[in-house]
Amino acid sequence: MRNGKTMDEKHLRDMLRRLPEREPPADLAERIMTAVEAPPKSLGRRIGDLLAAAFPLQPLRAAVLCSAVMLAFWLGMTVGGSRNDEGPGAGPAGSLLTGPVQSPEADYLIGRGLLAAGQWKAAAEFLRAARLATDDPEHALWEAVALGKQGDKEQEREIYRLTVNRHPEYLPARLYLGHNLLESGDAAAALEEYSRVLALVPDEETALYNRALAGRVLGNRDLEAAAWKEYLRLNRTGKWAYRAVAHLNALGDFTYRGYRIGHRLVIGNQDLLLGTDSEARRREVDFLAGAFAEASGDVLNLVVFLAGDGGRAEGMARELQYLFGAGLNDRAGKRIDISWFGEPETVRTASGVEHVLAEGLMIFCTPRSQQTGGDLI
Amino acid sequence: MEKSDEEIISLVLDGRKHEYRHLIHRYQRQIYNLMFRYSRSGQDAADLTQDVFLRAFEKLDGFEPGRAFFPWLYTLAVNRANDWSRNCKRRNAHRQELIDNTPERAERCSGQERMLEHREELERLQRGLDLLGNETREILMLRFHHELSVKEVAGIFAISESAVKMRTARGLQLLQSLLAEDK
Repeated sequence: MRNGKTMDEKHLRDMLRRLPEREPPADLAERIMTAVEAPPKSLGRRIGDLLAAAFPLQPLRAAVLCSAVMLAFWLGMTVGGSRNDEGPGAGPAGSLLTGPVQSPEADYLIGRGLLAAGQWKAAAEFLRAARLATDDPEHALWEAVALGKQGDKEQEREIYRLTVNRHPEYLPARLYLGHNLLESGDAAAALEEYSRVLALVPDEETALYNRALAGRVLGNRDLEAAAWKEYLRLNRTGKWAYRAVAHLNALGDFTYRGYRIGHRLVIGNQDLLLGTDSEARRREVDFLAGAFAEASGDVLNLVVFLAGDGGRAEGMARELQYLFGAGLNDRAGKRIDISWFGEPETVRTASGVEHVLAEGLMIFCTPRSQQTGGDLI
Repeated sequence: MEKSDEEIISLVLDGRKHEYRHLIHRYQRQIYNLMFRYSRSGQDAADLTQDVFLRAFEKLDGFEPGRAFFPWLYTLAVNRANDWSRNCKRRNAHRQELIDNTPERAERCSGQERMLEHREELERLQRGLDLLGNETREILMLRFHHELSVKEVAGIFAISESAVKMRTARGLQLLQSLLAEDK
């Protein structure tokens, strides 16, 4: 036992040593060097940064910022207006560049660098020059992002629209158009864009998730529920899947439920588990049995509720017990306990709302550590 | 022959700013990955990495010769990541529900072929690391991934060496139990 534990720790250390790292963006070093070699920040920018740090509350910050701008304007008028080096053509990179350099690649890279440096307006100018020179949808995408960052949501949307019209196959622009529309409250149009994305890439995770959000914004509960279910059909793990289940359950739909198996919350499809499609049910049972096989608890409890039909509830419970047992592959020390009720199940969601289900399946497995009074986590 | 960190710093401080590029190339991956572990977003990780290198550049004249550069840089990075994390929590509290519910753009897989089992094991490890506290996770990463000494790790987190040892042991134990759970 001790040897086994030591081996595990050695393996773990080795895995940590070999944990793959992500590649930083290819242009990151260049972006940093651009910023390092750029002239020092202006006094106004420094004051702005200080204010941003000092006043996180927007109204107060805005008021102080306005006062500072008025003070700066007054000082400028008082001291004299001889400085005239920031006209319409004045560049974002101060005295180094006065505007796009007429090389699409260079403009694009400078634009991306400026975007990373937080100079949205200047970035948009360079990226626009790159887009107009090449008609490259990627240039357009980043120009739109820069416009969005500077708060020009309408112009951002227009660029996405222009891009999807000219390059219908370029999905990032369509996806981002969907996000823009959704954020702007035009959920119906967002829904259309997400549907177009999904027609080409049916498992695009963000589009699947946001389609449900669009349904919610539209107040279309059926559409929302169907979208959450489609999302969950393809995504069963991760925080967004847990959120999707919570949203679906909040609608009173318990097709998918989160089951506590050991320390894990495992998402299961209740309809399939209680349904008549034997192949689909077996797949679902195998998925949950696999989670139970690896969980620290020894007993999986299955509780079947079928309102007004105790006999069928018992039959269903026994059938599931058999299927789960088979799915466990005779794993030693694991047991399936069942119970059944000829009455509805009452479920309370996280928000405290109670739902009564004519058919319900409760599954849980208490972690071993909690059974003995201790807890590892 | 490659210049040492100290030689590069000396050149940068003498006005040869462009030499700083070598330090960026040498350490950007480590800092970017640290930031990614905190933010879980490629864009935020890149922005934070840039920020750390700019701060390091500004503070370079305060760097003590003879000291190792990487732990010094990592200290700056951990502090920046913690600040970001705190601000993020504050911002999140005020976010609208819709924005709060919008998932990040799905990370695309690298396309590298790996044995499925190996990949799943590493994914489990990553999930386990995500469940650890930020500081415990970084202590484990510094000790085993970056192979820093206990003393260096203690310096980065301003804790005693015995605290580093204790937290390393507890972190490993916790990670083991999380991995066993997540299989």
